[in-house]
Amino acid sequence: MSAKSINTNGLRHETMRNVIATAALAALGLLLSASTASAAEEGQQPPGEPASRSTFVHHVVLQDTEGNKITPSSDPTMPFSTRLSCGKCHDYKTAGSGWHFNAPDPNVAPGRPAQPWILVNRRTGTQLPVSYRPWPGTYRPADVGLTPWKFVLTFGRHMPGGGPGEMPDDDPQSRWLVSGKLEINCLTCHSGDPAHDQVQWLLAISEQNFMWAPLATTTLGSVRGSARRVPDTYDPFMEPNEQAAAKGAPVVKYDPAKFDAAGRAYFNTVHKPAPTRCYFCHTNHRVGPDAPEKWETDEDVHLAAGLTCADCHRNGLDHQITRNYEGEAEARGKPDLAALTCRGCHLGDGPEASSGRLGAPRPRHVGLPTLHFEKLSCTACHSGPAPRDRAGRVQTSRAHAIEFHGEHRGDDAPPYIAEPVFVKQVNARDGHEEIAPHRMIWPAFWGRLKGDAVTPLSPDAVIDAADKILETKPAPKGETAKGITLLSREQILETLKALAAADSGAEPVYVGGGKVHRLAGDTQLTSADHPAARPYSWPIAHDVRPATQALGYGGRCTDCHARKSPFFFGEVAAEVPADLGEPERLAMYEFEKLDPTALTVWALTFEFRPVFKAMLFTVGGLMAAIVILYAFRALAAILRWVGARSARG
Amino acid sequence: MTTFQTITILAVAGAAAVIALHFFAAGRRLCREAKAAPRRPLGRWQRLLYAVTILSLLVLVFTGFWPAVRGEPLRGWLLMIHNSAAPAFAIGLLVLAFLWAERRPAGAPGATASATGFGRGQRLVFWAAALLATTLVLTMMFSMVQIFGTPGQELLFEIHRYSALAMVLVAMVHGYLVALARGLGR
Repeated sequence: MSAKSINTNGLRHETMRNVIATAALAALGLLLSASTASAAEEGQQPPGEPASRSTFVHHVVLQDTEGNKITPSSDPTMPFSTRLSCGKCHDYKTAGSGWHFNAPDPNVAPGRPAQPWILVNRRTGTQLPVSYRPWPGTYRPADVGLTPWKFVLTFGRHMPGGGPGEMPDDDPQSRWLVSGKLEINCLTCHSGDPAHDQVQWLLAISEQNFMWAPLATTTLGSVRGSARRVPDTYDPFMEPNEQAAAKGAPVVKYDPAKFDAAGRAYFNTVHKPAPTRCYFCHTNHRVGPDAPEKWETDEDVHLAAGLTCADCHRNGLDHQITRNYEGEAEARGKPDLAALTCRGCHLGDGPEASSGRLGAPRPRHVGLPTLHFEKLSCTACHSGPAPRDRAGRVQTSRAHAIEFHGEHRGDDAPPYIAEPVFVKQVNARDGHEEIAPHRMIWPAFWGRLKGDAVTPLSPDAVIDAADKILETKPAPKGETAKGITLLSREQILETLKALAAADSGAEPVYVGGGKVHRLAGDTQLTSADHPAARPYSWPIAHDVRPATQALGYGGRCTDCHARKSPFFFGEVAAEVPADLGEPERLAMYEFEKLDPTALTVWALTFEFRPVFKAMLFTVGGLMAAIVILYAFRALAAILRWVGARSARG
Repeated sequence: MTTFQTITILAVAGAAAVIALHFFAAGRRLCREAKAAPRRPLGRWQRLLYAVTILSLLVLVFTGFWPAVRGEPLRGWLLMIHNSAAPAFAIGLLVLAFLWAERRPAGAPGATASATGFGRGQRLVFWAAALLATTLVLTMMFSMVQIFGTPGQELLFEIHRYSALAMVLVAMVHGYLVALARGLGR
């Protein structure tokens, strides 16, 4: 490890309390780096991955973040660093440029909008989509006071490490020196150990045990204690006698049985993660009165057929995992990616595509007018839950932490995400508009209105100004339909007054339910439409249903072309964690940018379509009969004429 | 511009040019002959039926070709109007075929303009229209049933729109011949 990397990535720097110890350890680290430094940082390339498809057995010499070799008898016993332990063979920096880690990099193109992180704060009635990627409709973490430190504490539970976990951070409240950096945990995806426990990652994050989090998920050893409970001046690398002063500090104990005679630890790793690993962060769970229970639902048809997520969502060492939406190939300048879209794999569309990979069947789409392929994405008919009269609620791993027990769970827990919502989107391949299923969230947050722009306030800032007003009181049974305490209109009114008193500059507003709510006098709220209140939606592609369950399969045109069909007329409620009265409901056609009258008239024609078909088939048949009859008569006339001429010689 | 757009523009412009050339070359003479020939005007109901058929054809041509020449798919209200006009055109042409098939047999020996009330050109136009209308109706009907997959659907659609283009050209010739028969341009 170089001196530079120590400054940016290690724990040592000049502000440490024990300057002498720091200098000594830094010097030791530099000495050790001569033998254990990352090959990449010394100008050598890591050996790279073996070309073989056989399993490479990972016996790894573990190193801590200082480059010290770890053995079960090391003293002090430190958690292993993936940057140094895995990075010896796999270029950590290259892997760290992947989609799972590169969101904060402003030089990375944002790609098609996807699921954002959602900042939820029940007290302030906040559900706000945030992302480092500049997707329209999302806010940057810094906009709501989320420094890298706070971002990791808030969302690190479902991050694989890296990204914000290793960013420079000048947040005075941060405790990176105590927690350590949150390095990429390669095992989050690549562990093949059935005992790998990703839940321990959440616990480690909540205890600020960032540096210890990868180890905590494994069976290599155990981690006890909490960095959260030790003072800011605690140094994980201090000598044991000093460390004893910090009661409850994280303590590591490795299992000697996991190390071989050469002191190498065995990792049960897989090159291609199993779907269950992906599911930890990418599960979607429908909730609500009409939602099926888990056992009643089916997995994506591709998984049911034996494929894995990674069969389609592929990547090299750069971990630029393919997202497989149309237009990704053009956006990334890699034409061969077109083969991994629905069309590419099943239809062979695209210059580099060949259909039938991994046995992908070629659909016939019998009886389906080709116009549908221009107006709809493949997912519109094939993906997500079938449309219903009212879009249902869905909880996702990243938004609801459904992998964990706790008060955040329950069907009524915010954030409120609706699915499926059919939205007109721009196809990134050629720019045409098409309808595709989305998940949708209506933002709810406090902000300040200046001109036409609403600047969000962090929930902490709102609580600072209106702490007592926003005190959560247990709701009397039956007070709210949702069964949880929602922010009331009175609280909104009083909080707006408090925010106005705290800062007489820009006007305070509460955004929620598709409207911006403002003070109108001392006792009234006024509500108005505003771009900041518009919902954020992102396209969904999974779960893919079997072909027979696709919309319109087998000539079921009325799956969509019927009066009040959910596809066009299903409702989407603008639900937010605030009691603003009955939520506004919008019909799908509004998001599809379609004319409801035309849709209704068109649907009506399908009620007469059987008669229409019978009539026109009869007309066509008779016309054909007449034409054929007279064609034969004409032929007969020609034959007679030729016969007469030949008889005359 | 798509191939179909190009072909449509060239075909319509070419047909118009050929008609114009023909008119300047022989149109005046044909008009004089038509005026001199005995006329067999259609009855009231046939005139009405003919008018409905021509009107529905014009609606179909506009709704079908307006988006096509703009490079847009046929959809929305235009599609609904197109679909509504199609039965009127198909039924009208079928009834006219019933009424006129024997009266204007194609290529029948001895059939002359004076005997049938129609010249060779109009006979050809009539049977071309009947053939194309049959194709137009059946291509769309077969696309609505569970027989053809995507390649079949694409083929049916291509046949439909090129048949429609041919029908437009036939209609132009028909209009020209009718105009000549009425002595226009004298």
